[in-house]
Amino acid sequence: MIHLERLQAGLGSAIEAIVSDATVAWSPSQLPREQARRHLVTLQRLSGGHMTDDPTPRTTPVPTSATITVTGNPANARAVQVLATGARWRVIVPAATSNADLRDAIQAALSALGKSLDATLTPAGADAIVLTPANPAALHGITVRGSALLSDTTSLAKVTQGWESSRVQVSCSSADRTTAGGAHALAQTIRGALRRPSVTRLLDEYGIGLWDVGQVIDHARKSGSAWESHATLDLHVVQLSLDAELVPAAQSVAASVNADPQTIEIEVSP
Amino acid sequence: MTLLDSAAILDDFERSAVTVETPGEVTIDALREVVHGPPSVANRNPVVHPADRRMLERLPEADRSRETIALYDTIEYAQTATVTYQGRRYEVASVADYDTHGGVWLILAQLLDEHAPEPDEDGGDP
Repeated sequence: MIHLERLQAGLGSAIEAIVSDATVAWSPSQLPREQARRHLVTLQRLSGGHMTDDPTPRTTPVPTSATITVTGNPANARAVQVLATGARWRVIVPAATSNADLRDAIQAALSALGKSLDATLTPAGADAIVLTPANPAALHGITVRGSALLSDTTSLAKVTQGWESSRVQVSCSSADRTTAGGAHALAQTIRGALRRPSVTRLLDEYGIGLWDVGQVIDHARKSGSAWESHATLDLHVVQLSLDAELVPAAQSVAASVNADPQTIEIEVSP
Repeated sequence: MTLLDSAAILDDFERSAVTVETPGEVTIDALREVVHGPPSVANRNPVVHPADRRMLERLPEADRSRETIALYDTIEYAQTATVTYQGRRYEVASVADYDTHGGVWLILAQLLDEHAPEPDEDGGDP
């Protein structure tokens, strides 16, 4: 199972960071032309759900509950990083931010749309959050770094973990028909910037890996419907796929055995 | 020179009841999905008549053969609005501001495609 919302939000954020003067939308969608800026970039998942290998389930502990407790001195600026299920949430607060405010900021980050954590978040005390997973895989691999501590309770689960690849088409349209400023140049800009460390870091926050970036295809003859130029390129992206199934606790019995030479009695009490 | 206060004379003409539906605001959410807000619906009583040749010149040449009505009202209609008049739906094609004439707006709206008539039982043309 992968998080499609991470794919949408992560790729959308990355491309917005590259071309700030373009409207970025996930396709198919109905966006009135007058609502778009000078350039429009639409993203569409053409295919997906391809596992890169055949993962074998392995039995490992997964959190059935976790508590993040804020630490550190509020007089100093602090940072907290939470990693789980392949995504990364980062919260940085300035000095003089109370522990309760830092806790609320972490909770807001974990609740934000886009890097969805399938867990119920409950504030506890003045400086802690209790995370209750909605499914056994929801908190798999959770770690906390920075000014916070993690404590959790775990249970054994059969975890299947692998990489799932998707092909995403980036479609660029522009009101500019020139080679230097139109859709082809826009697509080339995106293509050239996707490997920048800053963009890779951003994609990494959403748990998205970029495997391959295709060539830009110019569709100059297909332009129309109020756009002067059109170009596309394909991306091959991967995301962590996780599934987990709790292993039932072993049944146990309490028993005592009384033996003598003539008879053997076994008494079992559940 | 004082221009004619057209808004005041609108009442001298017969008004027609129309429903104006304006699409809600369009936003893009964190998942980059386009979200349409709820449309607003207003009942208006403008002066309505078929658009004449001079009015049609406001429209692109290719659109002039479509059935077009002209509406005179004292408020602006959104360019994306649809107008329901006598049970038929029209899309707004042009909005002109005659503010100096007392605040009158001239709106041209064109008939949206209607359903094709059902073929008769022989499968021929109706």
